[in-house]
Amino acid sequence: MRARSAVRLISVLVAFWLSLGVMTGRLFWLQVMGKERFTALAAVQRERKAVLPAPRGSIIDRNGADLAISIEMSTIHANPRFIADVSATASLLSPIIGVDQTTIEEKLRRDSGFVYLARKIEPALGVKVKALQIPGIGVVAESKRVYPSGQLASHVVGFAGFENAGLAGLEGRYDKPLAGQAGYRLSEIDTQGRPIPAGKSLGRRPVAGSDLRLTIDKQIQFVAEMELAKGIQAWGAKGGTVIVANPKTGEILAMANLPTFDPNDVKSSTAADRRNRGLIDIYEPGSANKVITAAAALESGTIRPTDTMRVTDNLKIGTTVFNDAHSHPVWDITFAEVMQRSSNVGVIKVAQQVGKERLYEYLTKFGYGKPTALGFPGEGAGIVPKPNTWSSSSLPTIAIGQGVAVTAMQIMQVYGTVANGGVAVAPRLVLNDGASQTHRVISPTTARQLAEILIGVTEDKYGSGRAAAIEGYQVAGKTGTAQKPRTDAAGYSGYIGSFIGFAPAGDPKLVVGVILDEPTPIWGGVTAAPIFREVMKFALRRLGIGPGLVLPREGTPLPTPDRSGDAANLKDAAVRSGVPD
Amino acid sequence: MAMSSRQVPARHAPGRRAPRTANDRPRLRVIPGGAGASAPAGQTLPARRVASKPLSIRIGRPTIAFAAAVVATIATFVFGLVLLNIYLAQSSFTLADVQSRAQQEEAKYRRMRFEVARAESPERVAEAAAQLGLVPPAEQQYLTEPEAHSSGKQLLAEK
Repeated sequence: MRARSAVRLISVLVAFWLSLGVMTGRLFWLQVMGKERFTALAAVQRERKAVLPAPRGSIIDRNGADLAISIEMSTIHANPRFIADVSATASLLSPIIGVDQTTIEEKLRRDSGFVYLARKIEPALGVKVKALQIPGIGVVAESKRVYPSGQLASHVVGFAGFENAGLAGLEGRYDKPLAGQAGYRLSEIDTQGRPIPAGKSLGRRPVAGSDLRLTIDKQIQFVAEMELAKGIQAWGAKGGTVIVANPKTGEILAMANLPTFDPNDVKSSTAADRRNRGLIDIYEPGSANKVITAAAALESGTIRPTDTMRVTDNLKIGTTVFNDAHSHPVWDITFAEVMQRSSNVGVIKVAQQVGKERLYEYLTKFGYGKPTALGFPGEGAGIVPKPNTWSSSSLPTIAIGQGVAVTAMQIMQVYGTVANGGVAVAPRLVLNDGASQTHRVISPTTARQLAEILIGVTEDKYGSGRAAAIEGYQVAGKTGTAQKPRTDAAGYSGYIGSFIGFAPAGDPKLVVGVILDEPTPIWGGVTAAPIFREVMKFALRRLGIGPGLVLPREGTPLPTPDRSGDAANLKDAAVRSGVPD
Repeated sequence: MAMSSRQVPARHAPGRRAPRTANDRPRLRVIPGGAGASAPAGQTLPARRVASKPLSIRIGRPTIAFAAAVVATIATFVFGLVLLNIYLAQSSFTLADVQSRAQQEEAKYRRMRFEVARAESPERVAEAAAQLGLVPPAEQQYLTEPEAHSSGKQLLAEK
C-alpha cells in the first residue's frame, strides 16, 4: 500500500517537473531566443506609425501675393476585401467621384487590401462619399499644389508633381526648403485601431517648408505678359521674352515668356511651352551687343563719344563684306552717332582698334559664357569663342553681335551694369536669399558716357529705338536685330528682334529687355521697342518712379538723313545688307 | 475559572513576552490520575490551574481604525487611478477632436487663401475692371520742386 502511494507520488512529481521543464523551455524560447521576432510581431500588432507630411511652403511675390500654395483635397480609397456588392458600390461612387463605373469595379475586384479610387478631388465630393458610409470605402485628406494666378509667372515659379515634389522652375530649384521635413507619430492602438490613451506615444513633429518670397511683382509681371502677347500677335512672332529688373539690386521684377503654360494643368502643355526662354534659350544678340564693343573702346581710351569718324555703308575685311542696315553716303559722324544709328561699319572700325583680346575680355567681364548667379535649372551659359579660335572675320562679326550667343538674362545683365554706373549686380529671383554679389566691370565715367549715347537711340530723330521713348522720361537703350542660326548649324534662318534699355536714364531704376523670336517686320526698333515702352511705362508708374535727373547729351548735331524711317524700306535694306540692325 | 472567549493563551499572543522570574513560574505538582486519567466515580477532579495570571492581547479600536484606514487609502488610490484613467481617456479624445478641428480650420483657411488669391489675380482684376469700363490713366503728372531738375516732359517739349 505504502509502495503504491510512493510510486504515485513520484509519478506526479515527475509529471510536474516535466511540465515545468517544458514550460520553462518554451518560456526561454519565447523570451530569450525569439525575443526580437516576437517583439517585432507584437509591435506590428500594437503599434501604428503614421507619417505626418510637412506642409509645403508657399511661393509668394514680393508683396506677399500667393503664386503657389498647397490646399487640402480628398482622396477616396477602398479595401476590396470588405466590399460586399462591387457593382452597387461602383454605381454609387461613379457619379460622385467622376470615375467610370467599369474602372471602379475593376479596382474593387482586385485581390488587394488597398486601392485608390480617386485622388485629390474636391473636399465636397469627399464629404459626399463619406456620407454614404460604405464599408471598405475610406476618405483621407491629401495636399495638392495649386497656382491661383494660373499662367502668371509660370516659367519662373515652375510646378510640382502629383506627389508635391518640385519638378521645374523655382519649385524644383528650391524643392528642399519648400518641402520641409516630414514627421511621424508612433502610438499604441487598441483592437479597433484607436489610440490607447495611456499607451506609448512617440514621434517627431513635421517641420513645415519655408515660404519663398520672390522678387517678382505680380502686377508688373501681368503687364509684361500681356504686352508681350499683344506684341507677338501684332508682329506674328513665334515667341518672346520680357524681363524687368532693378539694376541696383539685381532683383527681377518680371520675367515673361511666350508660349506659356498653366501649372495647374501641366499635361496639356508641351515641353516647348514650359521652357523658360529668357534663361534657357540662347541667341545672337546682334546690335544690342555693340554696347560692349563701345564699353571696351571707351574704357580703354580708344575713342571718345565726341570723336568724329568717317563711315561708309560697307566694309570689306578679308573676303567678307560687312554692310550697314541700309545704304548711305559717306558719313562724318561722332562715335555717339555711330551707336545711335547702329552703324555696323562704324562699330567694326572701332572694334578693330580695340582688338580681339580686349573685346573678349569685356565680353567675359560682362558675364558672357557662363550662367548667371540665378542657378536656375537648365540655365544657358551662352557661347563665346576664345580669341585663339577667331578667324579674320570673327572680330568684326562679334563686335556687331553675331558669332556669340547669349541668354536674354545675360544681355539684361550687360545693360544693368551700364545702368548701375559700371557695377554688375548678380540677378536674383528670390528676396530672402541673401544679398546679390557685385563687381565693377567699367568705370562710372564710361557707364555715364554709354548712358548718354544710348539716350540718343530713343530720342534722336534718327535713333533706331525711337518707339521706346516714354513721354516725360529719358530712356536709354539699344535695338537689336540679329540673324538666327539654323538648328542644323547650316547658316542662318529668321531674325531675332530686341530692345533693351533703362529708365530714367539719369538715375536708372529699371532695366527692361524685350526679345522677339522671328517678328515681322524683323526690326527690334519697330517690334520690340513699343513693347518695351508699354512695359517700362507701367512699371515706372507702378513703382512711383518720377522722371528724375536729366542727363546732358553727348555727340554732335546729326547730318541730313538719307534713309526712310519706314519699316518696309528698312526691311528691304536689311535683306540687301545681310547683317541688319 | 472559566476562560473568556476573548482571552488567548500567552504563547499565542503576539508581541513581547514578559520576562518570568522563578516566583512567577507556576509550581509543578502531581495531579491524581495523571493526564488522561478519569476520576473515580463519585469524585471530582480539582480545577486545573494553568497559570495564576494568564497573558492575553486585546484587539481594540485603534487596530480596526488602522486597517480601515489602509483599506480606505487603497480604495481611494484605486478609485483615483480609475478616475485618472477616465480623465486621460477623455482628454485624449478631446485632444484628438481639437486636433482634428484645428486641421479642418487650417484646411479651410488655406482654401480661402487660395480663393482670395485667385480672385485677386491680375487677369481677373483686369477683366472686372474692363467690365466696369475702367481704363489705365492716359498720362501721369509729376510735381517737382523748383530747384530740382526739369522733367523729361519739359525736355521733350523743348525739342
